[in-house]
Amino acid sequence: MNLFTQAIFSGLMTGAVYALLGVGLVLVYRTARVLNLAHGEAFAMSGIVIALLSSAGVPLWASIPAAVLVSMLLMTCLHAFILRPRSAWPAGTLILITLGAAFVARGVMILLVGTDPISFPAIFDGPPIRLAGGVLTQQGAVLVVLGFVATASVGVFLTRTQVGRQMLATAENPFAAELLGVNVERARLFAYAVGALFSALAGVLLIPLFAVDFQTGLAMTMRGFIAASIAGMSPTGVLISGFGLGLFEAMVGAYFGALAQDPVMFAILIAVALWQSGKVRFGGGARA
Amino acid sequence: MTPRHLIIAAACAVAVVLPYLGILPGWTPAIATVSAFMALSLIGLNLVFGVTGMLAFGQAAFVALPGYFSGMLQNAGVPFFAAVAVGLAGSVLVARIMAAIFVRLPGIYFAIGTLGFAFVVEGLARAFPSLTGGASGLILEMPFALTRNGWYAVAVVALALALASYAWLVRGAFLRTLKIVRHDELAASVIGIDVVRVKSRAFTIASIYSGAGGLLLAYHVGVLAPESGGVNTSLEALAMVIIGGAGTIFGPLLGTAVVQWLFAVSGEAERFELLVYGLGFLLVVLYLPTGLAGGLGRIGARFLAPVRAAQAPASADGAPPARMDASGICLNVKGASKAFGGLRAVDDISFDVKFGQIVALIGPNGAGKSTLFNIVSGIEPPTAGAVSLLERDMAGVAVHERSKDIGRSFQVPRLASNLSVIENVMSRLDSLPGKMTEREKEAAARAHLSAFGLGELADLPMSQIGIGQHKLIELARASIGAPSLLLLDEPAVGFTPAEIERLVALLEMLRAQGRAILVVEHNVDFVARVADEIVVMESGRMIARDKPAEIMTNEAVRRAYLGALA
Amino acid sequence: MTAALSARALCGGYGRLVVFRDLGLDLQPGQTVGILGPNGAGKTTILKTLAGALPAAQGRVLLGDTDVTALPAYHRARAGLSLVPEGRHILGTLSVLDNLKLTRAVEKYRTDLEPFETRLAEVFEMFPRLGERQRQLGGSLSGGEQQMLAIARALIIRPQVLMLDEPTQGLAPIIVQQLAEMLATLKGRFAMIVVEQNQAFLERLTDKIYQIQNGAIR
Repeated sequence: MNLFTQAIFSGLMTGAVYALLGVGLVLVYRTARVLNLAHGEAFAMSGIVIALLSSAGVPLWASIPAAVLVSMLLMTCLHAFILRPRSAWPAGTLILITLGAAFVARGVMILLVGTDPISFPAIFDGPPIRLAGGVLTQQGAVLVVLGFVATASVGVFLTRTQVGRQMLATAENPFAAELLGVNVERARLFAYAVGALFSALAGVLLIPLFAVDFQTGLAMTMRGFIAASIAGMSPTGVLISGFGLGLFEAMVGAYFGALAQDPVMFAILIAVALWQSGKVRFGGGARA
Repeated sequence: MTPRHLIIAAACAVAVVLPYLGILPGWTPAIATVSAFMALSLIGLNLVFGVTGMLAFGQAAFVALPGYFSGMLQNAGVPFFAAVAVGLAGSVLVARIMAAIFVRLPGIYFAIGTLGFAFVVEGLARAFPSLTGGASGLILEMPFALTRNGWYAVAVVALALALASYAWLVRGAFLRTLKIVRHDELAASVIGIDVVRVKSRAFTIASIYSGAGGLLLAYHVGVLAPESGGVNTSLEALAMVIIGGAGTIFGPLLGTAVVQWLFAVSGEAERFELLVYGLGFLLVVLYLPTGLAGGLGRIGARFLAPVRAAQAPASADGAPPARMDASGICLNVKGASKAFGGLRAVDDISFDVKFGQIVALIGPNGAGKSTLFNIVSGIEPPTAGAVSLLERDMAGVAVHERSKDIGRSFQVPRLASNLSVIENVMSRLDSLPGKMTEREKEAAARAHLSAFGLGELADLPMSQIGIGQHKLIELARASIGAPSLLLLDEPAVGFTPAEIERLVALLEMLRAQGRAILVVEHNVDFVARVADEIVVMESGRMIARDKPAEIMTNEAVRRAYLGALA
Repeated sequence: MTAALSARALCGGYGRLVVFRDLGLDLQPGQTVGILGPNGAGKTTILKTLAGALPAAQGRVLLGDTDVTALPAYHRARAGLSLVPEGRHILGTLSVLDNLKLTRAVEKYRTDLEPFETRLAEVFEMFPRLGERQRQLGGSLSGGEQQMLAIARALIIRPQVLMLDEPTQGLAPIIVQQLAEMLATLKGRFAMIVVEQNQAFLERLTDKIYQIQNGAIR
């Protein structure tokens, strides 16, 4: 068993998740101008819904779409009913609202499944791939491919399709976009839905390998945020930053132990924040 | 003692003996003790989050750290009192260091950064069981024991001390400063507040309260678990502050008491705990932003006479400040340029403004006037050229450092809605060198407002003032404390002819005092009346600089800007 | 004849601040009208309210026969009411061509439009500089070119009513002249409102000029 190769495989898997989460976070941030701290809850929710349904005997092919739909529904409702009517509120308060939503989601999860981590069977459970001294489960491989393809396709989608361009326009200048006939509200809703979809899919694939509990959502949001901010909130950059982050974290875990991962990630976050904030004045984004 | 004070005193007395009265089921001395310690630490979170508006999402870390430090020191043989003192000091030191890093970050990064810090603290506490007891927690022992009532007495005294010290620390100028920083950091800088330093100070002071409460709670319970410094606890703390009323003095107490009592009374429904916290948090943020304390305050206000009766202060006779003793050039701009990428917003502009002179800056939208203003204020550094104020080169001088000599008003007034009119005006005096007492500042602000004809508005909260008055109030704030240079950005926008007359009179008064005034305006009539000299900008360049009469007939200016309006 | 655009007792502003009151307007098809006034007088607020970017406090806006007062801006754009906003608001991170392609959002709602390629070719003929730079990013164009792009974006959807907010703002006099000539060739095709501080520009272009002072039109 080659430690290095195994770390690479592990890193690719988590990197795929960070990329998927990060790109959704960026989409929502750019189109709706809200940093959604409840973003990672879609990841955790989908896992918990599937686990509940599975233990009630519902087959995977039914519970997975149901879970994905539930996640997407929750996120779009958060936007439509809670955030959108208050879009003129100060940015800090909106972040607080999303934090409140994440909090409620955590509470619901404890109610549903308690505090212990849970999981459910993998979809792809064939023989694992053995390569260069490392082992990669089939499910893991699918996750990596999905992460790569989905994140890369977002960039293409945004620049080459009509709907994508409408989202870019909404992100850059909602006023101008609306004057051109773009339904900016629908563009935003779409951003939330896609973000939730990616998070849910990431959950569907990763959770069977690593389990989930009520804390996972916020932890994932944080990782997604780090990936997004390293990429400068650019949807296309998240592909690189997400996978890069995953690989780096896996290396740290492999050579310094799993407990070193959180502090290292935190240090990276601070470094990125300091770097990014050099571009913003007044420590709060206040502009003249 | 006003009726309000009597009622508060009575309520406090009842609150203290309440656990022994037995009228409130579930509110035992034990619960009350724990609540009191929690409330103590929440005073800190309230200061950072409620008053100063910083999104501190990981404050529990500073609640748990002193206990961990102290416990570890005790295990290493350090005697109790020394361990506790060093533990608290150590935690405050960590907070000070974190503040230096975090406070410069924009809101989102600060939020995620503090959240991450709590993650890390909890993770570290779990990771080293030999030092911290790991997941089962660190056992904390005291060299003496306290009875249940003894602990309660300690709790009441500690909380009372904390509240008293808080009320003493956070008042007057410091409180005003914090409120302005919360409301608008740019306006704060322009008045002279060093935003980074103020936030850092608030963060550090907060950690003292967080840590003190945390220490007392930890030793009371006897065990310190890793979760108590982690994300969940931080979020729960935030919920209690919000529910109680963020930014109010009694908010943390109310929030803690209500939430802890509800949990005590509802019994074993531990599964619902997080959900209840979350719902309370969300519902209050969405529908009742001032929390319970705010709600109670509003009810109370209806039954009690307003605290602030119209007090007649000593002087306040509207006498304008004495004439400034200066002449010559106040502001000198030489070759100033500012490029954003390929776009030259300001291109080689040179002019000066003398004491006792009004210079107006006119030009079409997009000509670069606001950018030039920002360069003079220090908000944007020029890519070329120099700005000197009072013959001192301003390169590298921060916005808040220039404010002693520059008073600035904005196109859209930036007044703090969470302060009264007079507090807004006084706030500029808070940051000026030289010590004025509160009374002196208040008297000066009142006199100044009267000179502007705004005397009766002085004690009203800003939120009750119509938008039409905002510009004049901002002008009053900008001009108090005798700054040498006034930068006024479109002061006449939206004014009726009568209001413009008033503004002209005020500017003439300020000019007569010897100030240098630079005005950006579109109202050509107004400018022609009031300005001694007009500078015309177009596409970043200065195309004319002359007396009003000459400018009005200048061909180039007419073509570029005036059209046939003159 | 039904007016192309009319306003009845229209009041608008920002929240509690009422900028204009009791505005009545009747713009005939093919008519070109100017609104002259200094900054702060309310010109932009009026146009934004007519376009739907700001909600009206009171009163009605009619596009032809239809009452559009309750409709959001993108809906009115689809119905043929086009605003070229002050400051142009070009999407800097998209190319010239993509800026124009964005307008295709209205195609589903209009049965009378020729194919996009035809209209695009026509627009490039009117503004050859845009055709040359069609792959360039909007943010890299000069002020005059951005103004052309903003107008092209509005024209390409064959508006019934075109509103221009300070089109000469920040433009060099020679470009202003070109702009006036180009707009003059479009006169009569649709109803046009031009809001400006530049009286000479309006005098050359419009049939009638209204003055605006403190939110009231004379």
